[in-house]
Amino acid sequence: MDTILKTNALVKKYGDATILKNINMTINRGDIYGFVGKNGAGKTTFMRTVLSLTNPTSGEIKLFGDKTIEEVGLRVGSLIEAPGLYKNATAYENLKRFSIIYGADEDKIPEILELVGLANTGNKKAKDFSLGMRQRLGIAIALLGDPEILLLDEPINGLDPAGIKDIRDLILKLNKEKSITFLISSHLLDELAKVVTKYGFINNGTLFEEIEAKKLLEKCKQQVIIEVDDTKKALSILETMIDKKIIKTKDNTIIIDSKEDTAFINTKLVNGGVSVSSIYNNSISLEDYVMERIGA
Amino acid sequence: MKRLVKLQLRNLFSLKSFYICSALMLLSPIINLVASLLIKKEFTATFIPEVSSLLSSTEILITVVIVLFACLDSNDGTLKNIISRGYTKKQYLLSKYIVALVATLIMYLVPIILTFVITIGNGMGFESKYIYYILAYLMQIGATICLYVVLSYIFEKIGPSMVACLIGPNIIGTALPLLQLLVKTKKINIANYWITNIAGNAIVKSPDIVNLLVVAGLSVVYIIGLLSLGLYLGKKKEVK
Repeated sequence: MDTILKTNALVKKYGDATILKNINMTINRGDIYGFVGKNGAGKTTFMRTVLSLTNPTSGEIKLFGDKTIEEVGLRVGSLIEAPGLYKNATAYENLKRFSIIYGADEDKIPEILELVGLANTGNKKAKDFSLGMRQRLGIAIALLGDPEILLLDEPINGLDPAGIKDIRDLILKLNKEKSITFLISSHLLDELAKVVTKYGFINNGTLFEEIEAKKLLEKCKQQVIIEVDDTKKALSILETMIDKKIIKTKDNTIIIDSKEDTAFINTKLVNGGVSVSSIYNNSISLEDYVMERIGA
Repeated sequence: MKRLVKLQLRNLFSLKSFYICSALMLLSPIINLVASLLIKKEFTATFIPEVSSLLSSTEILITVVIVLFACLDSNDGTLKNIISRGYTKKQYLLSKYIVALVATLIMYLVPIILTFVITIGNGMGFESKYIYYILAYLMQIGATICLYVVLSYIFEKIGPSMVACLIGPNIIGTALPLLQLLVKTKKINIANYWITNIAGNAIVKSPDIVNLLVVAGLSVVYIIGLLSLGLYLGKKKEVK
């Protein structure tokens, strides 16, 4: 598979604080990669580091094989934090100016403005735009020059429900029709879940899980919850039957992240001398699953 | 790089302050002429004092335009749109400097030509030293503009950059005689080598090719030194 972005042991430190800890991320062509984590987990810092807006402390960033951002920057579009706009210029003028340095076709500007819903802004200057309009203009700038990958940091911030749907549809359309790859960070998990094909979970600067969206949905479907009197003893029995990576404990409760035969587990535990007060299969929502993982 | 220069030219020509300050600069020699005629009832000024007066009285206008222009991308947050598409900070800083020079030339050239026409038209005659004088000042301006661009690049925001550019060079210019006292040498006048004095001291006293080359050399040293310093200080800076 064609790798668009790959980072190897990426580390970013600010003084004594380590913001990114050995991040190994792989994004393949066509992915819509959902980057999920709490505020301050390191999502924006990661994106800024990839885009060379801040220097990594150590590690490697490779784009389109083994290229650096300086070599392939024109193939990478981005919207990081607040959109960078010439405040005294109109939406059209903003796109015109950036089209000069992005090598974009000026004739496509009306089409892009139409695409993001800013075709009728006329002579209104960017400084007079609403938060949602600025966000849309930021996305329009990111789309200039037909980039092959788009890095969008909270792209639906400030958008109304109709705007959120527009951007979601736009992401899906660009991904499907133009094979544009996306790296999107968002707190709105439900919205993210509607477009994402792969997830990356980050917590305290550590990318601890990368998983295909389909597999994640499977995982979300079932959990086995067991309440026991002796967690330690129960764990030693369960680990002989089930991969220990999917077993977690919380006080006297054991959670197994998969669908299992509860009757069989119950028998094994009781025979092993563990008193089981309850055992049942439980479905969890994607949001609960993610929140649990990112420690929110 | 060519694209960046093109973008920066577009940014420059979008600045209202550029047009306002250019118009005020253009008015400057005309106001001088009218004021002389009204007060002294005659116009006796020669080219060099007139240009000298023009340069010092309009310096603040140039500073305002250059700082507003140089800070535009960091102030509007558009610098990240440039760097994230693969352009380097070096290319960005150079493009800013090139276009700032263009802006300065545009703003100075017409008033200087106008001053020349007024003084020559007044029967003051043309002297070859005018060429040395103009060239030396253009070189000094090139170095001073570099200082403004680099300070704006380092301070990023308009307020601190404006203060640094308006006050900084003068403070250093004032402090240098004190340094002279500390160094206790009379062989070299340190203040003469400060960026805002290199043309005046070398050329006004003795307008010849040797002094012109000295000014050229010092200007180049200042420009390279300032750009290198700016890039060094900006290297580890985050792009906001």
